[in-house]
Amino acid sequence: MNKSRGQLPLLQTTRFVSFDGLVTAATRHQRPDRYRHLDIDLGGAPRVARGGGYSYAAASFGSDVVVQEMVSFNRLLDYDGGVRVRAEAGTTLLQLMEFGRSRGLQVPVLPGYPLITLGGCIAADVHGKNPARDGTFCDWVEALTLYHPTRGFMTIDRASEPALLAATCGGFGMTGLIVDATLTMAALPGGHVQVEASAVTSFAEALRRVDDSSDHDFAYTWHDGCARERHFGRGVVFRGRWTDEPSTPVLPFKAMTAASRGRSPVALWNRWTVPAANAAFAIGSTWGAPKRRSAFDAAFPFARQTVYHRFFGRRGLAEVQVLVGRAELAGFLERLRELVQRTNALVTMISTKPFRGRQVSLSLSGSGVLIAIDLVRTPACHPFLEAFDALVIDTGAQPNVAKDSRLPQAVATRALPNYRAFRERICEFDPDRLYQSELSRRLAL
Amino acid sequence: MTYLIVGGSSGLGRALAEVFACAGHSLVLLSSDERDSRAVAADLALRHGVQVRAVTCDLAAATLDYGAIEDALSGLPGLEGLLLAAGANRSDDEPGLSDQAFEAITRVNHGSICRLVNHFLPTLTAAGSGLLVGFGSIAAARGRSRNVAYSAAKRALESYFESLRHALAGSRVRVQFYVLGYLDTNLAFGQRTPLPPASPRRCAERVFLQRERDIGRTYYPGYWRLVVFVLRRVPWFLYRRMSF
Repeated sequence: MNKSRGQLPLLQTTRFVSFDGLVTAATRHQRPDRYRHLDIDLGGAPRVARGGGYSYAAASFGSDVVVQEMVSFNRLLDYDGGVRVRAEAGTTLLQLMEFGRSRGLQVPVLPGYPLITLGGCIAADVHGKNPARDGTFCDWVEALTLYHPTRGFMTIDRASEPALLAATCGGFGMTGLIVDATLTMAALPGGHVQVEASAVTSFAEALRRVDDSSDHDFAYTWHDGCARERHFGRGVVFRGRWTDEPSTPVLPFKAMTAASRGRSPVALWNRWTVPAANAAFAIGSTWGAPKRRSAFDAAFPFARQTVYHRFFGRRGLAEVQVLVGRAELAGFLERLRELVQRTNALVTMISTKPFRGRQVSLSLSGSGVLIAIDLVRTPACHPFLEAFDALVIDTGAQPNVAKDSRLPQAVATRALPNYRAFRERICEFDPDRLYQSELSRRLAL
Repeated sequence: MTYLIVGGSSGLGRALAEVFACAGHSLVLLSSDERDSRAVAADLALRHGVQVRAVTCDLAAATLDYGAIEDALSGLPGLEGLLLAAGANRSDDEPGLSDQAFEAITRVNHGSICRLVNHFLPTLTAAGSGLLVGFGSIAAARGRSRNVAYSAAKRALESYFESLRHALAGSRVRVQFYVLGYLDTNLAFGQRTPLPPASPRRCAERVFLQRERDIGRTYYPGYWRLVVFVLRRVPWFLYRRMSF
């Protein structure tokens, strides 16, 4: 606890954990709820902003880093009556979704959990269900207010500060504190989504079906991580289409946090439960007619179904997500099959979707297929990840920095196309490197 | 109807503003920083479609700008109540505090609150009904070596509200006083609290639900009534050894 004479103890020591459970740190924690708390003098202490804390990597905390938790900065500041909304960085996707629903608008890019904040979406440049069509979150950001102790509050947009905006979008908070942002919303096509699921026997078949889904609003695939040899790639293709039924208010749900996710001291996913759950999931998904889901449930399937993440327990899960070019895809998947077979890692699931990104910071850039792999932290996990890193470099794939909490700097340097330029840009903007996190230190930013 | 919320940009005041705006009431928010009160006002107006006006007002100052508040109230539906949620403390609030710091704490927690009530009381009584809600603290239950000026101001405020309730007993102006335990706001953030901080949102909902009732003084969370009852009866030879 920090108490300075005459000032409230606005700092306390808190233990933070990354959402995947791998990284923990006890550090000083500030929870500003007034603007004067943002420009409070923290001396030369390194600091970083934190939103909902849903990043798999430790992007919002680090040892001896003052964590500025922005959840009280969650107010809508302006709406032009059309599609532009200005909101504070701690505004959650759920708040934006609820605001847009009654006005026939939607957040065009929705990552997987409703309590992720606007600032977090910008810092990690997240993607949604159809990044090939919608791009990434920062494609929809028009302007933002950034705070840096040496420069004060700055309003930046593509015209006035293109380089700074580019470094902030997908820059993991390294350019300063995102205070608010102006977002372009998209028209809400309907209130519900009709989701059809069909079984597939291979990655090739799944991707063919996804590519043939231009008449759908989104398509992605799920694959049984336990399938081996010729069954590798067995899974389900999900394709969704908006329906014109009226939208309904979001029903209450119990929030899952990084801490509550890892409450179980033991992992309940193992070599018996994973195959059984995957078989049940595949059958349950493809059984019967296409399912009608509310916009909320379609966007955030894990909001009400937290068992999958909680079963990884305190030790957590390992997730890797990479963008693979179309030309390298077949070779990548074949080597992935061999790797899973050889290491016998306990993979719970693999998912894919087409992707397009154009940011120039640390976020994914270019087009191809996004492949995510979830693993249980067993002894086989480490050799798998080491070999996977080599596979990423060999095939020119790009790792998603936000999803991999142990991504080594050597891999990031070689695999991220904008790594060096981004590093130079933030060193130029902030030579003292005031904004830091475990992620930035690990990647030597 | 319109409610004037003092300290309406953060903590309990902001939660009260949320709850009353959600119920469709117009609001005037007083806070010391325009940036905060304007942000809250914009948010509530956009999300709930109500009229919310922000007034910058430093309760630690010797004089209050009643004109600015009256201006903000003009054109809004009639004033129905004052929710006086402002409060401030300091970590160095011990005997021997500087005059300036002592004055500031006393004004924010007691003097300015009473003056605002005095100013708007004729409006409420003339309207024939109204609501005055004050907020005390369990810190005022018994004097101790910390929060000295703060506790004294809150105890004085409690006495003022008791007098107010007595004076308005025959009218339809309801006077309520909430003695608050720890709330999960920045006032308690970073402090080791012997009991868990309660949600300001739930407290605000309680205030809203009880707004029509003549409850007088009440505790939130309710278990603090028992804690305070016991604390006040601890013999001095034991109390002087207690550290909290």
